[in-house]
Amino acid sequence: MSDKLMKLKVNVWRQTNKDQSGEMKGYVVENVDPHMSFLEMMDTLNEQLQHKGEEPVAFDHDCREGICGMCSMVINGIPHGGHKGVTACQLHMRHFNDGDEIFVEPWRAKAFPVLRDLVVDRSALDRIVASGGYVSVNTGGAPDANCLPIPKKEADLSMDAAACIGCGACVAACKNASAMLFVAAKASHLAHLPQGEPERYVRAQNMAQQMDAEGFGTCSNLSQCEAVCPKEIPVRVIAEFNSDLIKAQFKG
Amino acid sequence: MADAMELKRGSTGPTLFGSLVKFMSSSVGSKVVMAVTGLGLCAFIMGHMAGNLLAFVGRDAFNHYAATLKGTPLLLWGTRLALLIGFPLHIWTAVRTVQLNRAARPVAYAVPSKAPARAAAKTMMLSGAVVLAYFAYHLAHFTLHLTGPQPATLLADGHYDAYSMMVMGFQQPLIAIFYVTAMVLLAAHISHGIYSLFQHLGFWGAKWTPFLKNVALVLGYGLCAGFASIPLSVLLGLIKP
Amino acid sequence: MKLEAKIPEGPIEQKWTKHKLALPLINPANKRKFKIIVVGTGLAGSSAAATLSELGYQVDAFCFQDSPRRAHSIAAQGGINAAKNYQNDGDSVRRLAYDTVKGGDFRAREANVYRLAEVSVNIIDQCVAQGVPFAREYGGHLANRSFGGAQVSRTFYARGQTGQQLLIGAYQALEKQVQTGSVKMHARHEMLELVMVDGHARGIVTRDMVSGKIESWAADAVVLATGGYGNVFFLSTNAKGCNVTATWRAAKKGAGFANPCYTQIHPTCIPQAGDYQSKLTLMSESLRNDGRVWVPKKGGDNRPPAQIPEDERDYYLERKYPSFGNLAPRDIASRAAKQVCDEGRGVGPGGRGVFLDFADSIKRLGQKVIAERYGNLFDMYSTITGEDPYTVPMRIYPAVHYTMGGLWVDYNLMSNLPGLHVIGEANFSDHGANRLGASALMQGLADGYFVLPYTIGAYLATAKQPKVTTDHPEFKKAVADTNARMAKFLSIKGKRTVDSFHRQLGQMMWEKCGMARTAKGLKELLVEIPRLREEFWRDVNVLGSAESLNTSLEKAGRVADFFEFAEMMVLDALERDESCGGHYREEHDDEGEAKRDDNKFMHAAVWEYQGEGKQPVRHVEPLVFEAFKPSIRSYK
Repeated sequence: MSDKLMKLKVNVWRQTNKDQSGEMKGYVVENVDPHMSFLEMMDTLNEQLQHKGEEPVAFDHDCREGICGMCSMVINGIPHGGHKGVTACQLHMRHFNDGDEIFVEPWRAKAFPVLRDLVVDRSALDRIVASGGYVSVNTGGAPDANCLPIPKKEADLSMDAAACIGCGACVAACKNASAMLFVAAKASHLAHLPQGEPERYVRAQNMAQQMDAEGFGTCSNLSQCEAVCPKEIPVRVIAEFNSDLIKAQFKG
Repeated sequence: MADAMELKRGSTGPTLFGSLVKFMSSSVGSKVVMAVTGLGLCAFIMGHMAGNLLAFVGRDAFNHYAATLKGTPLLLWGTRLALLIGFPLHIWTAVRTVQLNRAARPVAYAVPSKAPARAAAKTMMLSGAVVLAYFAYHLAHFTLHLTGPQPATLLADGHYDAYSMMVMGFQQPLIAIFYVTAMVLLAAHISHGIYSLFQHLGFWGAKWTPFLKNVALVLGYGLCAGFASIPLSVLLGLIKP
Repeated sequence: MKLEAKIPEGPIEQKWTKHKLALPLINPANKRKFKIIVVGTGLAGSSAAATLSELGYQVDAFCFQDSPRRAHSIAAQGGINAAKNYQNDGDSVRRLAYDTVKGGDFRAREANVYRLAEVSVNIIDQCVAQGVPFAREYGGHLANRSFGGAQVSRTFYARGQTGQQLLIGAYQALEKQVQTGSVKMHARHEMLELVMVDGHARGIVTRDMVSGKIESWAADAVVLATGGYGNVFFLSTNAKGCNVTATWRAAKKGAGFANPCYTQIHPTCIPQAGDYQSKLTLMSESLRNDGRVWVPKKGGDNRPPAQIPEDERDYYLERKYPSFGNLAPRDIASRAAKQVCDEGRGVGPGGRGVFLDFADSIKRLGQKVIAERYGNLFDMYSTITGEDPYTVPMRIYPAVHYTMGGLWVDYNLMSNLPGLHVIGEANFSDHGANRLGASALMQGLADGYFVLPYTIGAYLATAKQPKVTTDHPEFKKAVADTNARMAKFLSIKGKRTVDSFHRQLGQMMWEKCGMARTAKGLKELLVEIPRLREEFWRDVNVLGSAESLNTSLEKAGRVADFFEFAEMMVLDALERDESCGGHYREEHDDEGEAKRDDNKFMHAAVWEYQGEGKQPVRHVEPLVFEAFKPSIRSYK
């Protein structure tokens, strides 16, 4: 691996606000160190822009260690840049070559309107959780934690789904802009635990209804979501969610 | 505590029928409809292929099969009824899905998506449309006798000589190519469709799902090979007029 | 400034129980007449907002991220402590409390810590009931591990994502209340001012980070759950957005800021790779169980590590602390790393790094076992550095991780400003001068689920303040001031970016107020910080408008507050003329160990802001240890 500084052509989506249309704009970014993270390359671009009197590119980011789910950019046609299990903030520039042309776009979905540049509104995902993605238990009065043994296998399956960071890459990658992986991951996390059992079917119905109301597309089992998910959530959860919804029809 | 998790109004209808209609028009429910109808269509196609392969046995066997089919109204009309319900539903949900999905991404990406997916899965609409076009032509040819080479005389029992119709048709290379192309696309459609229908109907198993994916491939391309073997045999002169 | 800690009388085991009984209650029908503002939605904020709303209060919750689930609690990897004694290894509430007090180098308030240990057991029950998928044994019961050098296994965990799972539990509880309509959630809203009316905290001013609109919100009480100030150093393991603005704005309105100099440095972080670096990534401390820490004996030895022969390596932790070796506590391991790097023996770019070598463990246990134990951490390391830790030793260096200081609160978690409550990392109360591993999650949830919901009622029941609306002149003034401040940033039109100032401030703080501090260095900082701050206000360049999503404007506000806060932090470090926990003054060193001065400094230092250009006043709250006798921490 070379430590030589790189020069890149970076094309970024620029849009001033929700109501205006945007466009791709090309910039040359110099002195890109191969050890930089992708977001540090964007920081470098922003420093350069501000020195020229141009407003920096707005992008969402926070923890920069791949867990908060805030960073959200489609890099060369693939959310988070296409390295297995990695968010954009953990993608490093050593995967690019000097002289490369890079395209950076926001998540694209009707349910994720662009607020500015690469920043989108993902509150639809919060509303889906609010519609049922929880166990209805108030604080206080919970029995001793070990009263309820849970088979390790079930706990592990639940944890696989609970690893979702809510970044929305599944929606961004899906040909249909479907949110099924996100929604089903939440449902599966709770459905594998006895605590989630009492509300299992109502939860599935409510979350599915909210998902439709937000304007996400349908699932065609392309598994693009699974391929780009930084937490590698399997499409198994979608089958489980479908099963719960079908069973719910026989329980009403 | 309040009632955070009450079943939301609007997610079900007041009656069983109403509830079902509600569910079937939801994004997940419509896919269930697509899966169930797809499963039915697939069963029909398998039966159809089994009948077609009788062409290799000979003219009489083939025509006998055609005549029996026509001579058993229950079977004939049962199948037709199932098709008359299943096919439009399958198509209707497909159209609806396309509409929903187009609406879900009003602004396209500048760089076409590189998120990996199987080509067969990405082109379900295209393969479906071609198969539909072929199906229409096929009906016009064999059922309605509106187009394509038709035999000059009927058989003694008053039926069409289905065997001759088939051979005469496939002797024309254009029809044969159209047929084979449609069957290849049908195979692609079915190979994704069968895997997909298990997902939509909520069946998943750590060992079963990868197995079923292979079954779907074998079944899809097996059907294709079965169907396509007939026009190829006609063209090669293995099945004679 | 009046500092009444309001610690209940009686034996330590009974204080909380008695106190709860003595707290006045509010009739359920009346609770809904009270509105509470909760700022921040990490573990403390989400759990408090959800619980308060379940009790019947109306809650307005705010966070600057795009969703409450993003708060930085999510990044905690290791686990959460609780005195469940599920492992039958002799753990108890008292032992957890003692470990925490001792770990904090006897600079925490004993009664608060005991209560924390007491409610720790309820936290686990609550989280399990919510569906937090903690790790389990094959029999279906909860798994535990020992963590951060504790001698009992009391740490509950969910893979390496404990913080995430606990936060999602609290977030789901919060969303449940959003659905009922009793919590109004305001994401992408940053608090920029606290509003005081007649001496009581009655509201806040926020900026809508999308539209830029400055708005005010009135309530009957305000809860700050806004986390720590580690980003004053620019580089830290904190999320980029973490800031001191909410607590600092409260301090400027008269809230006492306690022990701002207490910061925790975590020894196992990935070293800085270059000047462009934007944050530091923590590697779990558990790596030290099997990795050996070393540097070359001679400075400037640039040979590849594998070519440095055994007798030319210095396994300095094993040499200096033969009984604890590579498992020496966080502050001690951090200082030792700094020392060898200061001697010019550091490794990697810039010479700020030490090796964490798994070669011996791989030889002894095989690569498979090491991969099973640390596979995901090794993957993370190689994703970031591009090096393979199975064949090349990892490089690590300490980094700022947590801040123990915060707004001063009494036993009820209320600051000296009536109505202003402070919970989680934002307050000062439970960790003293050093926090133990797996205790931050415990404190956040203890405050939010099980302490504040009781104590805030007592304030509301007794405060008897008239209702106010945002039409009140104090609100109008606060909004006008905030608008003016935004306009000021945009009007400077200087030459340097906000980040460049932040980076420079951080570097100064890290060098002179970081892992090791001296009176000389701190005094220099007291000259350098105001000089740089003055340059900031003269030469910063904030482009764009206030009426839009403007990331540099957001940062400008935060950095301006860091500049003011940094000075108070340095003053506190200078005045605390002893070494304790994470606060290490080179003048007070006992052969490499921190040397406490219990006679002079057994107190919390609480700073009162006096206005621009004036030195803040230092007050003290003496710390009385009745249940636990202060002892010397020694790990030799």
